[in-house]
Amino acid sequence: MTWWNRLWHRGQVEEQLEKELAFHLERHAADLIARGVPAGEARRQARIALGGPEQVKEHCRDERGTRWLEDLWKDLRYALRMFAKNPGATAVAVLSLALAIGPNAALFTVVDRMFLRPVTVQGSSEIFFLYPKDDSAARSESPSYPDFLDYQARGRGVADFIASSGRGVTVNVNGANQLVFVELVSDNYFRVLGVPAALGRMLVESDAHFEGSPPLVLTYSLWQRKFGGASDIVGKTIMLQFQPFHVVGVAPRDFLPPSQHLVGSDAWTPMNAATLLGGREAMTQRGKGIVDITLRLRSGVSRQQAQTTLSAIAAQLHREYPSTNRAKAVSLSPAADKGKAVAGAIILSLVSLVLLIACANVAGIRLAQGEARRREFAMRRALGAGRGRMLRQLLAESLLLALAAAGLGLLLARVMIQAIPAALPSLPATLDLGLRVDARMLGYLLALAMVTTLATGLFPALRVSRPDLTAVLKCEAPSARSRSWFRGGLIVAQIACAQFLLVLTGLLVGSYLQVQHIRPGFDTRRHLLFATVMPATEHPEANFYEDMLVRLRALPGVRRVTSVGDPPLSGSGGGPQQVSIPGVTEEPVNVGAYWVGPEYFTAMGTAILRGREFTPLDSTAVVIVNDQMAHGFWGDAGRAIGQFIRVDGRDRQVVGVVETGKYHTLLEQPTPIFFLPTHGGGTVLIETAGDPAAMVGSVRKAFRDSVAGVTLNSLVTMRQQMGVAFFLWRAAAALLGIFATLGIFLAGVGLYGVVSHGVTCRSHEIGVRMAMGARPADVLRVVLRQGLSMVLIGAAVGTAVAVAVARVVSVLLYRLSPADPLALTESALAVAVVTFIAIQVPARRAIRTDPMTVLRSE
Amino acid sequence: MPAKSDLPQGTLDLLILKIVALGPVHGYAIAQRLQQVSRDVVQVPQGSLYPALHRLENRGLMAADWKETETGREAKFYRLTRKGWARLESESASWQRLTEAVGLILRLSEEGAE
Repeated sequence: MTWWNRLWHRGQVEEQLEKELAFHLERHAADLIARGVPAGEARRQARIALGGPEQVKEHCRDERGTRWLEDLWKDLRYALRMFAKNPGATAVAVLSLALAIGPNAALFTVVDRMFLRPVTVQGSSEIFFLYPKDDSAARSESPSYPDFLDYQARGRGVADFIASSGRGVTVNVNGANQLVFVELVSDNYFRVLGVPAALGRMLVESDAHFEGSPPLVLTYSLWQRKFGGASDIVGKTIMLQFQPFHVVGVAPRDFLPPSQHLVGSDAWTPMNAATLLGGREAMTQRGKGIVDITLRLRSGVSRQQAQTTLSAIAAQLHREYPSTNRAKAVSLSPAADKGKAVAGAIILSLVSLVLLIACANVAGIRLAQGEARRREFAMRRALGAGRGRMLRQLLAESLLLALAAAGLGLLLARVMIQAIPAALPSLPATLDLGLRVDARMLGYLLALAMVTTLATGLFPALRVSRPDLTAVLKCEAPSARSRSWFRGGLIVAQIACAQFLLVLTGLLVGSYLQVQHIRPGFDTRRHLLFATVMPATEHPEANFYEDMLVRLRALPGVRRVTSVGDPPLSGSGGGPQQVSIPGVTEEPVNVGAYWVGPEYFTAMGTAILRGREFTPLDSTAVVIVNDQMAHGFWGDAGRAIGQFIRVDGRDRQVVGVVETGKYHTLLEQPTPIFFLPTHGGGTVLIETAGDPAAMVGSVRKAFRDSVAGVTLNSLVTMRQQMGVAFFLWRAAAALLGIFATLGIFLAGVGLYGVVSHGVTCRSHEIGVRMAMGARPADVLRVVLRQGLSMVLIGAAVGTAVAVAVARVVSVLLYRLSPADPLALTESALAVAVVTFIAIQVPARRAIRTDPMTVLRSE
Repeated sequence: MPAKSDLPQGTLDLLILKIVALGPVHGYAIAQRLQQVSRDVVQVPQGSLYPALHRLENRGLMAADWKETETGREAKFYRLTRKGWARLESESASWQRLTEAVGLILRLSEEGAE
């Protein structure tokens, strides 16, 4: 019989045991009777020989090996009955824990996706990104495709190299065009990463030589989002950029390729498909940095060895192609970044403080319940129950509490996970993080439940299971000192944790407010709409773009319409271009560039320091530089006007100098940037007379009805656009804010519980004092002294720790010292309010104590 | 009547395996046979016999079937499994070695005393 059967058919097993022992007794008695012993005496002797039947049975049960499970089952049922007796306290405990566990589990899915599990390919520790390192410029250009081929050919001994090059293209689904990101990948891409397909197959080496329509592999997310997860997708032809592509497979759901970009790709196709998607010429030019190079080290090759070999190759390329390959070194950065994992762990441990606060509440409740059950446990002890057995039963109760809370927390986490996408800033393309309840999240949830069980159960269980037998059975009151010391300590710890989170939140909120005051080189209050558009047909009419601008300008309420390739601080655009400046530097240097339309600077509210901005008449012969670039190359904004810079082999005259702004991040150092004129860019800027948000509907309608040949991809206001730049601060502040609020709320509940319990216990003392003439103020002082001292110690400890570890979030602190007075005041205020609410209810009860009632109850 | 001696630790299992090896047998008969074969030297407390039987059964060394006895009553008959035979063999061998070794040492000390 397997142990499972023994457990499952417990009734039958018991019955057989009974029968076996009865048979034994009967046979023994029969033998004795045969030897002449009287029947009654024979049965007596047989029973004596066997021993107490219940004891024998108990020993047999011990031998079954399923004893602990049976006991656990009994314990859990008993625990359930205990909880049913105390529904109020149980509900408070479960809700406290669920409120902490749910958000923790929800956040885990995000942290897991962003930090802990960045790459889901086999052997991700051997995978590195390769950046050519230019020793002059801070931002180095991406490698070119010819560079990739050279690294691949010359570095074959140390690693396998793969290249990818992403671009946004239109996909036509059910007649509507939408923007997706396709990654052109080298022939060996999926072989090196080693990923099996979820459906169909991944790309293989022979796919590079496709005939007709190129093969395409979809991400699981795109397959679900755009094609409804149709199982017959493999073999279908879909239109990308108005060209047919042949779907050969779908990648697994959790496949996350090593990527240096936040927005992952939606599909993969061979590099040669560039002939259809555009950019074929760029693939042959050494000066065009368009690919990301990723490599997998061969077994036995160390990172250092690879670094040396690759630097040697970079130096060779520099000698062979001095005009384009200035990179003399390369840097390797691991795809599975340990720093990221540490960051993730720090975030998770910060927010798990809330769980500790909740655990402290529940431990307090359990301790109080345990005191009430001292007699029960003393009695069981006296009847021979082992201490281990009682410990197990108390821990089973804690386990049940934790599991109930984890279940409730899971529901909460699911709701929160579904709400996360709405909180993300609006981007032109869907940012699908693929957040969901998966096995890793459930594992984390269970781990939290186990920690909770021990944290809430162990100490109270140890205390309660070791009662002083005689004292309890003689109905003596337990000594309250050590218990109140323990609960006081819990409150101090709770307040400290909550205060810690509050101070960090205050710092982040303060930084967020400060960051909003940074001038990014334009006026963030301008009434602007940013529309990203793409041609709706393969061969748009020649003047479709002008036509669009004219129609938009004709809309009532529209002041100005211009365009920009990618707006600054949008996460893309401003990529480096090689320029040389006759008379200043003949050797090319990398400077970031933007394509902007006529009146762009006026529309954005950017100050024009010298010269003029672009007009509709400007051709490719002119350029505008920012102040930083003018100072860097010519020493002065005024002297820059009329100078020439050479871009793409063509000399362009500087016609204007504008203020230096922020282009990639708000906290960047002043960066040289130049602007090239365009008459049609990826993003259309629409300046409105009134509130731009009110114009969204009419602009959308205009695009739909009267602007032919263009698909509107996204339409956001300046405010929303800036949301991308502020997102990190907002998300961090909101996140910590949620957890800090939860934390101080739970700590307040704990404080209330302790003070209220204290008032109840001391009602007799208070009554006597009042009978002796104590005034309400005296009573109040007694109650407050107990509660406030705990709060003050806790707040002081929490503040000190927060100030000490604020370095953790220092990347997000802007112009704030860790001991920012405003942040400290805010958090102290929050603690004070919660303390007041938590203490005033029991304090009032204490004042209203009627001395007569108390004394009569003696 | 010779003095009754307690069983050394762990030997009860070996003795039970040996008796059951002679053929399917129920608990009461095992107790009887232990007593008879050892000529009452080995006194097995009957209270510890059944836990031992259940232990051996749970470890897969013995299997049990309910069968009718000659008196027409149903009883639980134990028999050795393949694992049980193997265990019996190895246990008896190591018991032999142990007793021989103990005997050698005892003789040695007797010789030394002379």
